[in-house]
Amino acid sequence: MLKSFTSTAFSGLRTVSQQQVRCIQVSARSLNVKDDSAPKAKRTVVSSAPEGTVLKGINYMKDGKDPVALADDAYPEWLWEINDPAVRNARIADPLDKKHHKEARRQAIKGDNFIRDKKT
Amino acid sequence: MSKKAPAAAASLLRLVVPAGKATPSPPIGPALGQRGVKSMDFCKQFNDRTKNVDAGTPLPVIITVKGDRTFTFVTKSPPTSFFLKRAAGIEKGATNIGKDHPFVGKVNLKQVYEIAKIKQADDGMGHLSLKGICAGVIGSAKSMGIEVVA
Repeated sequence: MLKSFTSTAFSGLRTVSQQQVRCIQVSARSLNVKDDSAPKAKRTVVSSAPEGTVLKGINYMKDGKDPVALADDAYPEWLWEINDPAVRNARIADPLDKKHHKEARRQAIKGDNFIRDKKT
Repeated sequence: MSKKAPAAAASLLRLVVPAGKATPSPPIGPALGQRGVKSMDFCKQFNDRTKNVDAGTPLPVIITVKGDRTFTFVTKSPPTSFFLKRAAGIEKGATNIGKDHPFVGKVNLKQVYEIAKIKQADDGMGHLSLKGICAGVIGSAKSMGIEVVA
């Protein structure tokens, strides 16, 4: 029975009021503690397919038609960010983000493999 | 191509079949014949189910053959590469990709979004967010040498 979350670096078994309690380390990001205090930058990306463009090649039904592009604002915000390398690099640089640690781990593995291959 | 547990001994078969056209010996005939299914039966049912689809569109189909040689099948949406090639207006994907090789085509994010919406309807995508599927489509595009622009 989990009695308390703690965001300090302690993970493991703890005694809280004479009961053994398992604590796990939880990062601020995974608790969805979002810092929305900074004003969101206005989207600078403008789509190459303005509203009304026919998006070719999507329809594959006989009685259907290719969809027509909506206005940029009608699409979800994340759509303009998923292809943006700046957003991705920002996540990798942020030490609270899972991506940061995944990338660090990946580079460490590559380094180890490189050294191991060099030896043989 | 996996076997289920003892009693029914059903086997799965995964094929890509052009919509409305079936039976040719090479792809379907032997694969089904080995499991004791009459390929003509499958082809009739498949062509019937796919009569609303543009003829020739490649459709992945998963056929479950039960121990008593009866079968059921599920049809999924066309492969992502098919959509991307059409959207980019190219016949084939790139032979080589990477920083030393130019892109062979271009799609924009709105097309990616629409492709993802179609893919989302598939059974296997239930656990994925639309954003996740879009990221997958972009990944496919990159590995085909298709540039994704805004």
